[in-house]
Amino acid sequence: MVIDAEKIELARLGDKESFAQVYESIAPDLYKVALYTLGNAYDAEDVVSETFIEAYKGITKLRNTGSFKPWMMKILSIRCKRKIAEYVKGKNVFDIDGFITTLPDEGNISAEVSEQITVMEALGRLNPQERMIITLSVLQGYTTKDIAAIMGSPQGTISSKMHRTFAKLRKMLNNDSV
Amino acid sequence: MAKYADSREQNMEIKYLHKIWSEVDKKIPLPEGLTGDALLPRLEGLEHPKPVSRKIRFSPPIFSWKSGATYAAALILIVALSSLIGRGDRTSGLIEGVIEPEAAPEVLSEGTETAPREDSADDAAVAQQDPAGTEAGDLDHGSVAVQEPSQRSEPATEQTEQAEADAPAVVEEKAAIGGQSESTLLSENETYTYTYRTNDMTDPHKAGIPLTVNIMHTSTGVLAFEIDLPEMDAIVDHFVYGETLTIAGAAAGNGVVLETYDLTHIGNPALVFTHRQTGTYLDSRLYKNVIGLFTYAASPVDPGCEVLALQGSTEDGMCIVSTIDLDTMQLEQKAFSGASDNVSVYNLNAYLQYSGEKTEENEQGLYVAHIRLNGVEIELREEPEEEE
Repeated sequence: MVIDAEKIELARLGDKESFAQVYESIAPDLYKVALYTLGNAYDAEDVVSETFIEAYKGITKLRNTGSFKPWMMKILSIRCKRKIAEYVKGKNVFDIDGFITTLPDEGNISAEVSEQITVMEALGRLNPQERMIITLSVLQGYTTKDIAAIMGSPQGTISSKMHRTFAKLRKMLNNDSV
Repeated sequence: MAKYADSREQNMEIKYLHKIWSEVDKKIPLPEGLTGDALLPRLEGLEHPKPVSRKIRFSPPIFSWKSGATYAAALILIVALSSLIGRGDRTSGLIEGVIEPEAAPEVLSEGTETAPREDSADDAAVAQQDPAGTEAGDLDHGSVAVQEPSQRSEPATEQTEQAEADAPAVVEEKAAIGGQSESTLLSENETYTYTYRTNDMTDPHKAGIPLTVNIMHTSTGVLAFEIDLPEMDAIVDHFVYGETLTIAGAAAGNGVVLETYDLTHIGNPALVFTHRQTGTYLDSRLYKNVIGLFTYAASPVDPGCEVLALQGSTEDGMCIVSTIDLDTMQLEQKAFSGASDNVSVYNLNAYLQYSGEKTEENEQGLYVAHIRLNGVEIELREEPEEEE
């Protein structure tokens, strides 16, 4: 994906349309990270739209156009954290129907879809922070160092949490596959 | 479903997950309300701050007191670094240690020469793109700026080209300090900046010491003191409270080590408190003067630790909670048997989520235990309170 550096420069100067255009180039990734982290579309839409406004307000602080996407991811991460903090008592609902949109009739599920459901169910059993780490790593391809910077945590913390999360997933998927 | 075996490498796990997950992922559309056009009206009326002009930022009157102070600080830093590099035995020993083929074959080997160059290029690119260490200003502190993954792999970009041009100098500098990697920012305040770095095991002066914390004067950048951490493999959290610095780290082997240093005499920090806790690190927090540390252990906990059972749990792990008063160094510890490693920690409360017996009221068998942290007191509340 190529992000138009010229448009980011225009956005820094206050051009709202240019900002909206560069935002749109990464909006699907932002939305999906929020969706997998928070587990439902309503909260994900909330945090992405908040991120959009927050980023526009702070776009002048972005010094390097090449880091536009991770910078946006960092704002999104902070918004997600605030949303998770609002849950307080562990509201951790992972709306699997919102992800598997093409479920066939019951009793006629292909092996491929069955595998997808198993993975999504396993993700649903992780906590939001673990899901964010895994999403940034597996789907977005960020390194531990990058994820630490995005999530504002020490790299060692992210590294150990990622290790534990993979171990949990492995255990869950092993049990499901037996 | 394909077998998901323990023996698979983590990268294979990532590939496996990516394969399955991306199939789901590509079918998720962006909601109409989140397109750029749909959100554009929400920017109406928002004031756009004036962009920070680099020309203005970097062209103050040359002889103003501010620029004078900056130049003085830079000069002190250069002199300090020069004196460190020129300091007899250590530097020469390190250089000798590194240029030996056994010590650093990747530097000398023709076939692998590009590897450190790429690393250095990456480091340089990161430093170049965000010299201040953070992009987001008032957001959470970020130790480094991050590049787009796809951009990192594109050698043709302007940044990478520039970084590659700088790479040999960086490689040489790394060799001169024994291959130690760059420091990671822990935190900074008006007085001190705290960073840590992992030590190269080929460094004869740091052999057996995995990590070193550097404390620098924020205003000058001059190193005030180094704290070696021989007991820790990785730092997982840290807290600055008054004149103390507490570092929590994964202990070599197993468990978590928490060390508190008194920084009253910055030239000679004193280790005033050490705490070792069984289990893997889950979370920690500092609230007022009390640190809370949470670990998860599958095995029995430290002798003398009070163990409380979570009602109806079918899990067999333990969550160990410690609180340390940094004013008095009083330690309290309790373990909760039947806990999972899923914990949410807040200032005064923590919530342990665990699986338990399924009932008509709780069909999924998911329970949450409420732990109240009142100062150093750790209290298990059977029923979580309603949110105020």
